[in-house]
Amino acid sequence: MSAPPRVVFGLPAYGRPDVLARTLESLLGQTFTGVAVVIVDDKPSPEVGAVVERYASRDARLGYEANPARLGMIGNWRRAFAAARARYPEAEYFAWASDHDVWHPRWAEVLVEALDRAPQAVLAYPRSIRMHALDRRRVDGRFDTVDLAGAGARLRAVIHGVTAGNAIYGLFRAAALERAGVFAPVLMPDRHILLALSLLGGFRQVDEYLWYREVSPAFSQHRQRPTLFAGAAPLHSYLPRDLQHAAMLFGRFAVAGAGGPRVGRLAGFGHTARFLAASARRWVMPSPRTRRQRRTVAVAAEQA
Amino acid sequence: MVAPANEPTGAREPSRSERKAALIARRVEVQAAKEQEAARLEAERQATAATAARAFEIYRDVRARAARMRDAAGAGVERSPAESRLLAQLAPLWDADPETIGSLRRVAPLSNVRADEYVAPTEELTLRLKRGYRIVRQQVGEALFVEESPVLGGFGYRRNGQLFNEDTLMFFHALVALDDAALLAAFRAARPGVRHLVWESGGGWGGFAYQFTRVCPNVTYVITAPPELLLVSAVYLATVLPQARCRFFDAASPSATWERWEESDFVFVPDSEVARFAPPRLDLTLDLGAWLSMTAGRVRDHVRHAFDLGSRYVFSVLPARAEAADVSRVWGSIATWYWPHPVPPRAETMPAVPDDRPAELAPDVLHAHLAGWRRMYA
Repeated sequence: MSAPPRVVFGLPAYGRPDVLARTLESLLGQTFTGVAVVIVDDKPSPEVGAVVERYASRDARLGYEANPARLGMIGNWRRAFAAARARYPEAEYFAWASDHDVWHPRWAEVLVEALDRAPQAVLAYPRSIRMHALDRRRVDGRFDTVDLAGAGARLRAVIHGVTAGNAIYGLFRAAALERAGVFAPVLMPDRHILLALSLLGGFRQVDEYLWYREVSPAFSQHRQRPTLFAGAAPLHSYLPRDLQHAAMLFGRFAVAGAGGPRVGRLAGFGHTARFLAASARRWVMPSPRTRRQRRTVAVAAEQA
Repeated sequence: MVAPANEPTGAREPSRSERKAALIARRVEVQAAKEQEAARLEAERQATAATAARAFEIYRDVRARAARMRDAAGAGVERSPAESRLLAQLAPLWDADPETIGSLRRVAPLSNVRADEYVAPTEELTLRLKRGYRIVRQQVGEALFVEESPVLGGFGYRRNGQLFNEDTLMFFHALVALDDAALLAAFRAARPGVRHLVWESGGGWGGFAYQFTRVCPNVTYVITAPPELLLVSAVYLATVLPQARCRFFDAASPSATWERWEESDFVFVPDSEVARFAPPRLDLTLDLGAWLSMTAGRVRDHVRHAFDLGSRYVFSVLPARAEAADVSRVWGSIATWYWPHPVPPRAETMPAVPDDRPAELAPDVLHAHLAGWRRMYA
């Protein structure tokens, strides 16, 4: 009998049979052998089924389940995590995988080693390459918080510096992810979970280009709610995004005490307050990056 | 405050005898420097002569082996016109004299880079060299830079004390592309008990093999090529790396080539034996442009064989502005057995963080690199 996997990919799929085979091969072809993949399909189709069947029939490490009704992106990401944990409860590490990006064969090998070497880290992620329709480009940003002292410093760094879209596809300690609350029903849930995780440990960035991200020009921020939620979006999702995140942090750390002995309830309250203060400051005096992001959103809304 | 010229400054004028003594001392110094330089040049000349003599010994040994390979191969390989032309140009090397072997880097017609262009480089060449060196050095540092060895007539442009030419830069960029493709780290890491095997098809004059093994010493590097090419690359590598352990494919006993393969640094195999070439492991297959001059059938055979041997990765270099038909013939064949991943080029004019539009090919990008990841079910 083979050893249980140390790394489980939860793959929330949504209708990309055109590139799914490429993605699956990149996940199943990892040089790190203790890997399994669990697909949760939020838009099942015969085409997706055929691709999955082709691989699942040859590789027992691939599991598949189709949602009977659409869960929305947040629901599906949560379901992917839950399904992966249910199938492989002993797996130490978890990663979300999309159905269209590509993972370098050494991705798991390098990131597992990074997490094994840094017990204080809760997440490891690599540099990435963006795949445009006609060319590819490196993303050279650097963000690593493992050597920062204290949860407050890590939280500050994440507020100001993390690129959530890259880090969210990193390798997580599954237990930390569970404590942080997986994916919350808020706008930009990836950013929220990274904020929560920063209170539990550091983020390690590996200096190799190990993740290839498909860039879709069709992405639109203003269509977030219908994408994230199945059916009508909850009312709280119309509140300012940072207020939603602060409420979740408050509930998780100040009320439920998810930070454990190292980040107690009082500290959780303090971190939530500091997060809100930083958000207010950023709103009043936006950084050039924030200004750029706001412009992009405005232009997208206008074009739509 | 400066004293007026007519006021005494207090400094005593040196006497005539003192001036004469200083002059004599200076002359002695200059003479000593001249003698030192002459001694250095003589030592250098002797070292070059000794290296050339050693290279000629190596050449005679390699030539005998290569001739056996050639005789065993017969006319079994389907050569393209470009390959046939190259082999005809290399034919005089079967009967080379010591002087020719002593300046092998300058006389072997295996690259578009010509030594005489470096005697007094044109402004355009100098700019191109400076730019190619600067782009990568500024972006990734010097860890992967290996300068041109002066051995066997090595030549180039000297900057920051380092000798390099366009071949050196092309290989430097290829190493950086391998690193950007996240393929190099596994070969650079020295893990006890793990030795990797790399196969370069073609091998040219041995320049990339030299650079790769300087950066990744714990590999066994296999070169497959026509015997005429092996004659150049094997002599070059064995001379420039005198400690290297070289092995030659023996058609009479193919499996013996791979016995204790970990103890070899370079293995030379005639390309007529590619179909029978079966190392116990294969981690990376390299094409530094050799496949561009092969027929489509042979390119396919090479890629297919790499796949059958278990090579996890294939890495290929083409001119950045290669004809679409050539790209399709080489990279299209790779894509049959490997997932193709073009490596983003390193250039001065390309922004590091993209917008949503595809980039125009930057003018300072001379080569395109492709990393192929093995397909699970090709």
